[in-house]
Amino acid sequence: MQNPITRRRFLGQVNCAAISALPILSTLLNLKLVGNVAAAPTPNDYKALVCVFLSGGADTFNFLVPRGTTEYAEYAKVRGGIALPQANLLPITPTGLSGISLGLHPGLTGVQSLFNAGKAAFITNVGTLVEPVTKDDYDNSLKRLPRNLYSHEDQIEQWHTSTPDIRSAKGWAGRAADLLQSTNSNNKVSMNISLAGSNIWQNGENTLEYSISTDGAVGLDGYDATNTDLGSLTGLRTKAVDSQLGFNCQHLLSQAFTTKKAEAIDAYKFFNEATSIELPANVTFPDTYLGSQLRMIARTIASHGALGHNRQTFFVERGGWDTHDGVIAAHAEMVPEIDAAIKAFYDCLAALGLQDSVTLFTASDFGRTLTTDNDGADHAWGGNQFVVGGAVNGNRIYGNYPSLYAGNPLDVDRGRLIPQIAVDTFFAEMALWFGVPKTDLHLVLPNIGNFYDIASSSKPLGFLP
Amino acid sequence: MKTAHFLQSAFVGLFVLMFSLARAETVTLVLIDGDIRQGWSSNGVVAFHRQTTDVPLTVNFTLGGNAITGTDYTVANTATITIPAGDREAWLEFVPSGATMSRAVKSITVTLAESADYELSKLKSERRASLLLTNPSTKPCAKSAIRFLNQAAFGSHANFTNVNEVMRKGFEQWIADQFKRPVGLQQPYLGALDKRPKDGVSSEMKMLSWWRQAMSTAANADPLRQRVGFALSEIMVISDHVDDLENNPVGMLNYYDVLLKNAFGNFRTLLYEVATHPCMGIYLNHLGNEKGDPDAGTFADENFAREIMQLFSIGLWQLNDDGTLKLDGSNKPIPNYGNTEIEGMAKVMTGFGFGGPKANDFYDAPENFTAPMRMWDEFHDVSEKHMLNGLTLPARTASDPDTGTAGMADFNAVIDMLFNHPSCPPFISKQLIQKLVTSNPSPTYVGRVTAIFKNNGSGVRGDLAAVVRAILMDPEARDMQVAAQTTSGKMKEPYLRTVNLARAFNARAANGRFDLGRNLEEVHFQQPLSSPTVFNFFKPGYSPSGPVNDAGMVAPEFQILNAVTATSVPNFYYFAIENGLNRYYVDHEKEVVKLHFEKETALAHDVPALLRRLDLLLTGGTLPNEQHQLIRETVQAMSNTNRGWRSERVRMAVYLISTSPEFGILR
Repeated sequence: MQNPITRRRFLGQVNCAAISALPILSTLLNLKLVGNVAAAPTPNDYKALVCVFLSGGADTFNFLVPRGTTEYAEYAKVRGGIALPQANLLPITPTGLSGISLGLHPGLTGVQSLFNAGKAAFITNVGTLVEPVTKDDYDNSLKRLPRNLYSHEDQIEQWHTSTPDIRSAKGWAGRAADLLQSTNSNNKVSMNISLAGSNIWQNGENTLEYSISTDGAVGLDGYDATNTDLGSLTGLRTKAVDSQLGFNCQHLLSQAFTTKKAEAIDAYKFFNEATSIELPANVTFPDTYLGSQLRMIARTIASHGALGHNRQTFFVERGGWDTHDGVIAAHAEMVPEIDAAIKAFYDCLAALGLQDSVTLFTASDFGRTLTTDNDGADHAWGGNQFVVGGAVNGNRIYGNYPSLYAGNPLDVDRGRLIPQIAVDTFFAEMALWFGVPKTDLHLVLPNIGNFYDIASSSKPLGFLP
Repeated sequence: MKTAHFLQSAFVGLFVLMFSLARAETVTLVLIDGDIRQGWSSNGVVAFHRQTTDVPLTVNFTLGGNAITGTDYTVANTATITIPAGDREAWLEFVPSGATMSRAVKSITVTLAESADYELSKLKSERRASLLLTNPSTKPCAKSAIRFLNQAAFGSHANFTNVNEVMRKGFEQWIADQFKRPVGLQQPYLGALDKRPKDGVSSEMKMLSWWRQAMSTAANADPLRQRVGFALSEIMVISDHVDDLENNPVGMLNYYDVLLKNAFGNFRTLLYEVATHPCMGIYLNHLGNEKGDPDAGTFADENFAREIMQLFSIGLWQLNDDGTLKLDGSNKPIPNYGNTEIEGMAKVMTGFGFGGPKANDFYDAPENFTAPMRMWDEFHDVSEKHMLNGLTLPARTASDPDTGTAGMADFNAVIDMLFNHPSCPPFISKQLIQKLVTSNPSPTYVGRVTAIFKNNGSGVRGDLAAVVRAILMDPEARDMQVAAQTTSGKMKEPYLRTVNLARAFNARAANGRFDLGRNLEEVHFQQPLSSPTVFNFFKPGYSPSGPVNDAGMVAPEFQILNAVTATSVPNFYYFAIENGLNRYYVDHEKEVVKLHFEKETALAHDVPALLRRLDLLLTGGTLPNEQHQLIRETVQAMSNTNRGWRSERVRMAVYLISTSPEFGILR
């Protein structure tokens, strides 16, 4: 057995000893991958994806709502007590939309202005699918369906994995990062950054999310890697903690426990130094949880050069959308909150000149039933999501806005709509923009072939260049 | 000899020479662990310590005492031991033979002997060490008792009373006694506060009661019930992250008391009382859930219908008795139910309104959060329903006057069906094992507990006391050979690890209250009754990427160990060790819940003794030798003259042990 070792010796050993037991494995793995492409020219086409996950299953047929007389009547009838008043809907005039008039939830004023300016778009009736399904297929079990439709846990997982046919702990941003992280000049911290802790979406074979708080990375108190004065308590403690982290744990849980801490310490210093910048003073983020999260993301995006990231993904979460009851009141509070935070985020990116490099999208467990159980609605399937960014071909609705009347051809029961756009198609558009080669798309989105022909010259949906 | 090499060698040689001329180095003997029990796999250890590391050093010693080498114990060296170049220490381990000795207690002494190569420490205590070897016993030793209390309770306590109790009674008797203890209810304490004229109770005051029970050292305390109740609260989840529950702390503790009362009762009663509790009704929306009206296009809410099956009783998939998935002919798992069955279950879960003596109206009954919900046939779907497991509920006639009889007949039928479902015993048994003992129980372990769930030996199904006993007394829970495997055990839940720390140092405030409020939630990503979703803080199948996942294991608690909590928890300990467990400024000094280090401070001058105490108290004597050396050297390097040096030494030692993997992982 070895005596306590110093930081220097610990780092020295990593290079020559069996690395499996040592804390900075992921960093090493990343360095190895970077090494493979070190000779390649450094690309300089920074891009970021931001996922705003509205957990609980947002009732998004109250986000994007029929506004014309006929279609509004259909909407009002099926939604009953949870229909928004027609007069309150924010008008939009999407390019290329005919035969129907749509409006937005009155809380989406920021999204409305971005939409009108061509910087935001909606994807309508999008949801999890294994393969295209009709009502007849559904009723007679003729096609494969996503596992455990209408279950929170499973549907959240499937939005993260995009593989609704199999359980997996790997998500499509993780798989995309596996392919693309070599384009970063370093990966001292993962290019997949989460403000909502562990999540599947950003977890790949060689990629783990890096969790930060709204104040940035969390460091270890009473520890200072630059303090080597063993006459000071901090110096002594720092040396002891470093030695502890260098001990070779055979026990797998102890090893994982130590690894997590060592990675956190190593990454903290680097991350906070790299992101210690001020954001443009003329943009104010609202003082809400999502506002603080997006503010920290803006800081991280602005610091992508110092972090050595040419690609980044961000995951944030805003819960509270499981509106079995009180949907009108809940949305009146929460929709303006997310709207204001997202608008401030876009404005901040614009002030930084990075708005064309960042695409934000919303996602949620599922849509909700069009029918109501009094003042809420139940778990359903297809829903509406929106995308925001300078690169977005906006002021458009992607997909055909569905009929909402009870018993329509997409309604499997209670106003649960069969999605006409698979999450795979939605994600493929962003994965291609993000830099995943068409020929590798199936590595990121294994079922994409069921929805999109990569030989096709057209985009999966067309909302990104 | 090439010049450069020569110069280098000469340089090193000169150093060594200068050092030797100055004086020979001093060797000391350090007792790391002198408490050896025959039959318990923990060795006695002494360290031979020096200051330099340049060349190997052979140290002479003699062994004495009345224990017989080779018979009572084995040891690798009996007269000399070499400290290798590069190291400051060599460790000599005394391995108990497991045999019954001629006397109940025997001793081993190790005495340093002279050599020309070193000087002996001037202190007798650093030249000689005594270890005690005790006979095998049916009663546990202290280390074994502490390990047990980390599984079956909230850990040992500074005063060792519960450790001594386990040692005196043995595991079986201790468990049997716990079953007889009065229930340490949570709600009454909060209810008493509620009567005070001040501001009533607020949501965070739930934790006053929770901590009071978790910290209890009362003679009739019920730590096993509290521990199992907490585990149940992570399976049958309600959370104050819903406004209506946030505003009803008394009701939430009443729900927690339902879990505590039934922790050693029958699972069917537990499921029934959970399903009819108004807080569950609020949390998963079956309170006020009306039957659907096809004409109006309304439908019964499915939220509770789904979760009572998926999370509280049988799970999504058909299970074998050993907890593994049942597979169909093409090796695919078989779902327990589909959407038809969920819709049927949702219809069953219609008609519940607030209960209690004044519940005379479905819509407008007073909001009673402590009485079971009342069923109203008028709002219950009495039509025929197709359930799972072949159960069809017949169309029923609504009672008049409305006594809810038809609705409760449906409800009782589905509770029976879920309770008797083949997936229920393994589904619940495995999760309880994971919460108490190990993240990765073998299928045979799950199978043994499932068998007890199905039949407690007297023909009773669902006897949770028998299940808890079976979990804790299983060979896989008790056998140290299993614990020694690299795949054993679980990560202690972060919140419970903090309770461990608090108990180890007798945390208390001058006013006797645990005013810890909500401040601990963001540190730990965890707090009782505050799960972010109905899926608990972490899921039973979570597997972190890396060696754990590669080995095909799960480690549920790792779901809340990330780059934030990997440092926020140590930072909290850093703060708490010095300032107390309240994270933020409190109005009055008497509210500060301080950790008490009186016994440790008294040992600050004798660092090996300090570490032996902390090692036993915090890790059950499992700290590896290199951790001992590291922490000892670190603490010994600290002042012994500064003002407050004793406290500083203790804080450093406690911090380094409480943030070690040996404290974080329960094996």
